[in-house]
Amino acid sequence: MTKSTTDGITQNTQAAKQPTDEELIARFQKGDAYAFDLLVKRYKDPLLNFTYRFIGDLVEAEDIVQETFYRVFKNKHYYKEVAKFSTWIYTIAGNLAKTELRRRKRRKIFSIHKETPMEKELEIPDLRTDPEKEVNTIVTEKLIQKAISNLPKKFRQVIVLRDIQGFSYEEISSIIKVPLGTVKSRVNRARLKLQEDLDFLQEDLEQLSL
Amino acid sequence: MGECDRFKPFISDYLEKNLDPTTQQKFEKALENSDELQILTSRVRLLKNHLGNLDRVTCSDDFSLRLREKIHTVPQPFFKRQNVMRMSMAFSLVIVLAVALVSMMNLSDSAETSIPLQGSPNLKIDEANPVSSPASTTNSGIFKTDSPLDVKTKNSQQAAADSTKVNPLPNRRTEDRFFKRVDQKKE
Repeated sequence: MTKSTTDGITQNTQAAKQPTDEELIARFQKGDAYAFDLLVKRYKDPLLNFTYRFIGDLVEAEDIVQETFYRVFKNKHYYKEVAKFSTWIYTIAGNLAKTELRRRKRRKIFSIHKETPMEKELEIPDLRTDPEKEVNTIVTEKLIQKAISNLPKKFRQVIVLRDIQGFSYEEISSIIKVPLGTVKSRVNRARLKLQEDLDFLQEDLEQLSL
Repeated sequence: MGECDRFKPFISDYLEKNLDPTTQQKFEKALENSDELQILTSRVRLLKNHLGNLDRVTCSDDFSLRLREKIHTVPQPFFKRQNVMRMSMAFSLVIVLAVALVSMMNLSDSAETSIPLQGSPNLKIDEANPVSSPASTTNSGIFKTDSPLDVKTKNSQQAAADSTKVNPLPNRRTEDRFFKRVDQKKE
């Protein structure tokens, strides 16, 4: 009992001793490479979740996260402590994700022009997705991801930041540099649109939530 | 416009308890009256909860390793825009300095040439060794057959007299300036 209590105290003191993001970036700016490693460890998965839900491709999402950290490394002195570090790094990742989406759109337009009717017919269906083997939750999740990907970019970004990443409206406003009222309105409209698109899934969602 | 459409914009604020008391009361009243609004609100709540519980993806195991490689292998572009700007600034500064230096030198040269016999290096040599002076060089040709010694001495005397006639102070200054420049060049 005493041991567990002391363990708890130790954990609490360790948690209290955890340096903040701003302290870590300040240390990194002074040349402490270990502080950068800690920031990578802290942010790589949340950033991957954000970029993956935003662009819908895991491999590309990881590349974007890599690029984000590379830019943080390269431009460490551009960070000023007027904003939170999380806001700064999410802004970088969001901008890179948007650039990737634009690039993808251009590629798509280009490939549509190049595509011949014969090529269109030769599209091979993905046989790996066997509905019998798929777990219901995975299917639902894929459908949700698809619905998120179909949302307009400005709605997608705010709903991912709010409902998946759990940022406050104020933080989202700082990240995407849009007024607070606009953020709130966009989140509400994104939710309504998503609900409309996933209307056919309501029964599954209800079952999953039970 | 139905009750549902009227209260749609407030659904998120209601779910997150961000409505002011008056609007909240109105919303709750509308919820009681409109089944459509009730269904929509419950569906949005469900969706919101589901989004929050979506599976979390994680980075691959070699993420940090690849990042380290990327940081250390991506070459730093030398001719970046900032570098080019800095280089062009430095280059233009050097050119401006060079032009300023040349023009200053020209000015000083013109000032020297405006005073006769001042600042001439030969003058110093004249005084030191009259034989090798420009005046003595005139002691060749037709004057050779006459009285060379006289001519030589006359010329050298004349040159010496000239040099003493001229105000010695600026002469010394220009000489000093010249020797300073010579020293600088040697350095």
